[in-house]
Amino acid sequence: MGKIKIKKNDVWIDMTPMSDVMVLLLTFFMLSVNFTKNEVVKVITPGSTTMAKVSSSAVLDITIDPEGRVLMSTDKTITMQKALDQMLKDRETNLTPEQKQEIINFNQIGIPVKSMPDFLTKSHEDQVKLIKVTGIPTDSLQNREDKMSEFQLWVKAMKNGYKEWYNDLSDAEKTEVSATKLEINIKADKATPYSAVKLVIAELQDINESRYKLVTQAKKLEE
Amino acid sequence: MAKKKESKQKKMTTRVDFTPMVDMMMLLITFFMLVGSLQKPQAMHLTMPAKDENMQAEDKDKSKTENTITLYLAADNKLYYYIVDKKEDFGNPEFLQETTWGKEGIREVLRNHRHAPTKVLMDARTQLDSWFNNLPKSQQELNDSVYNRALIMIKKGHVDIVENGQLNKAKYDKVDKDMKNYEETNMVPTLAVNIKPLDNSNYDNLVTILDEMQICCIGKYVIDKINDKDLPILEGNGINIQ
Repeated sequence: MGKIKIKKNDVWIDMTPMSDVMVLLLTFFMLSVNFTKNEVVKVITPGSTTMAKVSSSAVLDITIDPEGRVLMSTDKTITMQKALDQMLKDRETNLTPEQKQEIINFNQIGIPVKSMPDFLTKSHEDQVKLIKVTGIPTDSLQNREDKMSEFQLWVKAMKNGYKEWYNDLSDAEKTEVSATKLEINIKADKATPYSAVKLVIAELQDINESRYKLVTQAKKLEE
Repeated sequence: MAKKKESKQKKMTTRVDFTPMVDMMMLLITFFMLVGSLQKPQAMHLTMPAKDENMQAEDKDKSKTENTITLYLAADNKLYYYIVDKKEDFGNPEFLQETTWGKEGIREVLRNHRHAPTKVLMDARTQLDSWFNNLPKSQQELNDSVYNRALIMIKKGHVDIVENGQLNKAKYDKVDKDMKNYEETNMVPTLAVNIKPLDNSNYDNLVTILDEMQICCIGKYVIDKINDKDLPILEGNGINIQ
């Protein structure tokens, strides 16, 4: 019996088509992606059949978690910086620039201003935990004639912050910015009790904010 | 001196190995898939009345009682509706009925309301949609504002601006000129909805019912508080309000 000679084949696989497909896929993902902001408290929003999209700039997100805690975030860091400065002044609290930056890096405001210095001494894990269980106080502050709550002060400070930023722009830059005002997005969890939402809306009405956008997920209409 | 070699072009294989490139692409794709969400969230507009006590009381009485429906959103995703023909009847617990969410439940109730069925408005909107969608693409952009305005008219009860899947331009213009005071006998009655979520209902219920307002073409709706008049209705039916 003769020896079977195994012919050595060249096993080179051409990867060019594969890489073509990959480039295509990559382009698709790069173009269609919306970067999700890294927020400490995330909520699952309810579904609706509306077609309008949430705008991506000039928004003030008010997050209400299932336990009724209120958190706030905005898309521009500068707005948050200005608002934070304003709030620190209002609430007579002092922070160094580094400390301020640390607060802003969380992307979400979720603790009372007065407790910020104490908050900054904690480890990062504890800070995240604290934000998750605290929230911005919605009860009206003592020693204030206008009976405003810290939440209302934050909304006002954020709005002012954005306005200041907008007013500092040159005329040419202004034409490129579509919104002259911050838009309020209410982002509550499916399971958030209505009483919590009612409280937030009532406080907003108190400071003459009566137009909001409710953030929802796309849902198919059953027919 | 070294002997000069005859320059002979060596044939090189020009094959490039793409495997590392593919590896890298895979990594990048994975990164983009994980870091972002594909869908942008949808926004639902909500305008609440400014806090003005005097104005509200007047406004509430504008709609006729028989064209009104009151919805109570209660705990455990329960939904109740309340329809009365006469103002004096309001407060009688007997008229409260329970329904379910979605197409078979609340939508049917709104569609087939005794005095102001939204069925008529929804049909008109379907016709308006078909008119708009059959326009050539270039025309659609131009007519976008017309579409939106026509939708508002339909929500107000001017269903005769559409006929056989077409927009009746003459009638549209007539209504457009003076929408506020335009009163024609063939204007259909429109439903006014009082949405009254109880404190123990959840946010999902509220958004679902607001969405239903859009689906059913209802222009007049208000999110209202539970007041003294509602209490006997709810208590009479053993509904927990806290």
